[in-house]
Amino acid sequence: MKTNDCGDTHCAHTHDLSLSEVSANYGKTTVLKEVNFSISCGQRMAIIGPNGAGKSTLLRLLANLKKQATGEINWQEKPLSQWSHEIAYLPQVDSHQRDFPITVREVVAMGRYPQVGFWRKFSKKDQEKVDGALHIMEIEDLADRQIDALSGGQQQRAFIARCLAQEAHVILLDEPFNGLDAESRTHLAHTLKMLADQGHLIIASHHNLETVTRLFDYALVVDGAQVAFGESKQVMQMPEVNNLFHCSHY
Amino acid sequence: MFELHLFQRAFLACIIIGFTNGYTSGFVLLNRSPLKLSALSHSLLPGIVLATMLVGLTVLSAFGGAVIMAVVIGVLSLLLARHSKLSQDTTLSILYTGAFALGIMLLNRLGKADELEHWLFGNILGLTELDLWMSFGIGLLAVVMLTLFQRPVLLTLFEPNVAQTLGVPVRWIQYGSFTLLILVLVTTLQAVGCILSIGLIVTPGATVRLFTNSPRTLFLASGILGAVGAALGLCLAYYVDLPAEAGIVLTLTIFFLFAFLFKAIMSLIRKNIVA
Repeated sequence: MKTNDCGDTHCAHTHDLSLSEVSANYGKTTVLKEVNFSISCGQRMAIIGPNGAGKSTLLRLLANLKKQATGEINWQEKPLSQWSHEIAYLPQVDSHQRDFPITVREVVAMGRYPQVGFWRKFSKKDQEKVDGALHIMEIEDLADRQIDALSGGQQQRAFIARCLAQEAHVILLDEPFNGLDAESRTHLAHTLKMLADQGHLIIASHHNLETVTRLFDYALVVDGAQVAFGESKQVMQMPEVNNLFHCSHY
Repeated sequence: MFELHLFQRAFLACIIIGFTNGYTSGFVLLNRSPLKLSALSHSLLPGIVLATMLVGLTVLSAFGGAVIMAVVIGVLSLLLARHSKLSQDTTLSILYTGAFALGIMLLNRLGKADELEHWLFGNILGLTELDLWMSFGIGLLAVVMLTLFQRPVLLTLFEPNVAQTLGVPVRWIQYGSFTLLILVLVTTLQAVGCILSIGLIVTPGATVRLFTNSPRTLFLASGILGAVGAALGLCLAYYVDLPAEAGIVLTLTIFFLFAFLFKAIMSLIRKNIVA
């Protein structure tokens, strides 16, 4: 476990996310089964697999957007559903409504909604959290710009700032490197490393096999069921993983 | 003209319905649902006719029938879309055209085909005191709800999945706002009819959106523009002796076209100054 400065005592060795015999259905069809892994704060984990393997479904389970059909998902040894404020979810960068009249600051402030609720005004502490998140992501100068006036990489930074304002310990990202230019990809890689070093648990679906070991400490391979889990360098050497990607339409 | 009791009532209706529709148009615009609403407004007809067949034609029966049919069509289209590969646009198109055709058939069967025109084009000068109170009640409800729940509503419109992870009851917000829209639509239907109602619930928001990036301003300014445009439209129609309902919608359309032109000219001037 790395040193962290999450800001409280949450991130300790016991601060694990663990999945046990998790499966997910859409209607009567099982799309994911037998998922078992456990991971601590301060790590970056990639979920990889062929198209339709269940990567996004697993992210949706972790984000509490979908209920698992069987098994348990625990955070700090309690059901994850009790910890929704600890989990921040970033869909793919183009999933928000286009041309929506909203500034970067307002997007980041959304992260405070679990704390302030529907009606309460933002307190000084809430404002400080928003300002702090903008500062960490180096987008203070963009704060008053409309979100759709930014590039994909800048938008991604704004959305990550929202997670920081939320004070979430687990950050889930759906294909975060998709659609970014080289410079934005490098910046995002540094950001994810920085957040992990601060004690956040980063989980991202990812499709570029060549960059898995460089960008992530751990890898979970799925193909309708769990194929492999472990340190990314070891996982990418496993024969079953190599067979999966050579034999599929990846 | 203000001495005329009928005109006074119509003028007040314009202010109430214009403001309610204008305020709601901010939501419609951000929800990108003008076409869905257009479909829904047509689906109200069979509800009114069925209610007439069952309990006779009264204001309340027409209102109740319209609300029930709109909710049925709206919710059914959502359910069909959720449980099939079809989009809600598709399921709504099928259901509303079917419902509209059913309405025309039922009107003919009832021998009231001559009343069709009122439902298609409205009758703002024929509104009763009860109609006015109902418009006021629904308008107040819509404005209060959209103001009170603005934070979760905007988050749901912007990114529903993220809204859900942040604790927003997305389904309730979606169904609630949909029901509210239908209620607003029904009061509008009585005033300007199902064909022109879309102009009232879309145009003010579209006009204001050209000038603002703030949802709060969008809602309020659209409400004011809706009220002013509707009242002005009524007066102009009175002076030139044209149907009031057409006058209202045409005035709002002219506002939009002027706003668009003004905006285009201003950006041209700004570009030239910068160059």
